[in-house]
Amino acid sequence: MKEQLVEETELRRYLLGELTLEERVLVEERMFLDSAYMQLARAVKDGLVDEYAHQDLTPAEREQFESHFLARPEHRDDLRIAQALKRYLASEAASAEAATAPSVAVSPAASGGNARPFTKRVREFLSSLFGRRAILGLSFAAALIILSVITWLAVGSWRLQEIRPPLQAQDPTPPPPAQGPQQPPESAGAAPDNSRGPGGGEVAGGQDGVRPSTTPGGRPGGDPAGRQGGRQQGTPPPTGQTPTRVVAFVLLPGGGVRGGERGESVSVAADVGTVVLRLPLVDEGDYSHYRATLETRGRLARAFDRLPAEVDPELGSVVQVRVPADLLRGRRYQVKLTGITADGRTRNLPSYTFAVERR
Amino acid sequence: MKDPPPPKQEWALTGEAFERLLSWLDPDRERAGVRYEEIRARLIARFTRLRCVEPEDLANKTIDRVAQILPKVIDRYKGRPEPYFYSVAYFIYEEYLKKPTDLTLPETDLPQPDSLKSPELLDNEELLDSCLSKCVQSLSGPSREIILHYYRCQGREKIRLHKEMAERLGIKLENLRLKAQRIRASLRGCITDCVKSSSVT
Repeated sequence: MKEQLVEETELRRYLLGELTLEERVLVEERMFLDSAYMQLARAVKDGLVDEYAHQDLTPAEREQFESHFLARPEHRDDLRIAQALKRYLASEAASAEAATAPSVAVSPAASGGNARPFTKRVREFLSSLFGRRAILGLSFAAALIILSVITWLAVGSWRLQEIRPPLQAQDPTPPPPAQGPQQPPESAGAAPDNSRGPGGGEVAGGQDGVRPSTTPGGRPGGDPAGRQGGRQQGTPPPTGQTPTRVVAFVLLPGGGVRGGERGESVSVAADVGTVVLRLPLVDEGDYSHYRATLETRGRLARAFDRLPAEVDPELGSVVQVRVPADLLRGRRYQVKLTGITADGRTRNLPSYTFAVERR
Repeated sequence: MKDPPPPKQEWALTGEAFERLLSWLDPDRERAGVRYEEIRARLIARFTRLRCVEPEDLANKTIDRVAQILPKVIDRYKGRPEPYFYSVAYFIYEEYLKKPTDLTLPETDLPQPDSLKSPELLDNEELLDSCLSKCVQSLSGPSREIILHYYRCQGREKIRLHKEMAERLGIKLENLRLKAQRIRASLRGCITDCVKSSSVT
């Protein structure tokens, strides 16, 4: 072990050009005559390139690396591959991270914006256990699957509850006519999408927060805010009931809102439970799904992953993001959209900015 | 209009260069001859073991290159001659792996890496990313898992992760590293091929 450390140190010095001519010749001689040493040298080289790519070298090493190591064209290619691998792994990690975010977001334990660190901690914990004891790791994996199924059932139940009320509602007045996305979504108490298009059935418009209570303890079902551990301050429901109404807005790339009363802001009344942001796609690349991040004041508010593109007769392809209303404060927001191809490549797409006006 | 540059002339071993090489090996011409034959035989044996197609040809190229650069290095290099031959042979072998049919002579006084001049194909970042993604997908499941996990972290986290991976796979840490290196080398080959074919088409 100690011998290998010495060898690695020498190889590192060799790669950084710190050896004398005679020392260098001896290293190269050994690389030619000893295949295992040659492979060790390649592994040390890969490690060195990665350290440079991750900015882990000391300033002196970095200088040597740039002046000596990168003098070789094939070493520059090695660095490009290392940087590409770094980008690839980062995008993989981001996708995996985001993929877990929505399911955690509906967990009471994960409210308050701690979803990502929580999942990371869980994954590291499982990873460390799995590394030490396979059976224990498998047990945790099984528990995780069961937990996922329960979460999935809970989400399914929530979605069903959200769909059912409009169908079950005994509203004496006839429903409003179908409205396009330009119709002010909160006018006449109607959501813009409740009678047309994909996903229209999910929009629980027209009920104005009178959804029947379906859960023990009186908490109305289908309340995204309720499932996230309670509403945030500043958005009290008007009559002591949990906000449930769903409103939709079309965000235009680069700024602007269709569906808002002022044309540039998303107006959210106190009885609104969910705000659907419809994002028309400018770049219709070959993406299998999309990722959206909602940011405000330079900080991530929520990530939404595995978003499909839907076809809107008027807007063309759109991505729909369902944002719990209690997440939105009276300030400016930006939605950054990323297209993700089937093979995992990502591309940043034009972003959408909007202001929220709380009423 | 300027004339095109004359074609680069290939260096040929002259009688004078060969005599200088023998003198460097040993002042006694007979002993020098013996040492020369020993070095050549060992070079052929090693190139054969490395599964090179024409080991004798590579051994001769090695000797030619040493003879060519000897005038520039003879005053600076204070070590034994044999290691110097094998040092040059290492670069001949590296060239062989990259361009087995078209070896070039060095421009510099030592077995400098710049002798391995080749166009930098991988400077198209978008193409590189695309090829990397394809090549990672083309790896076998276990290899892909190793490459995706092994290079995921840096610093202390990396050390911890590698230990866990080695334990999980039931192999030593050093072997895991060599395994990852081998996969990465094959990935590099795949990427280079992919970039080349994409550049052609």
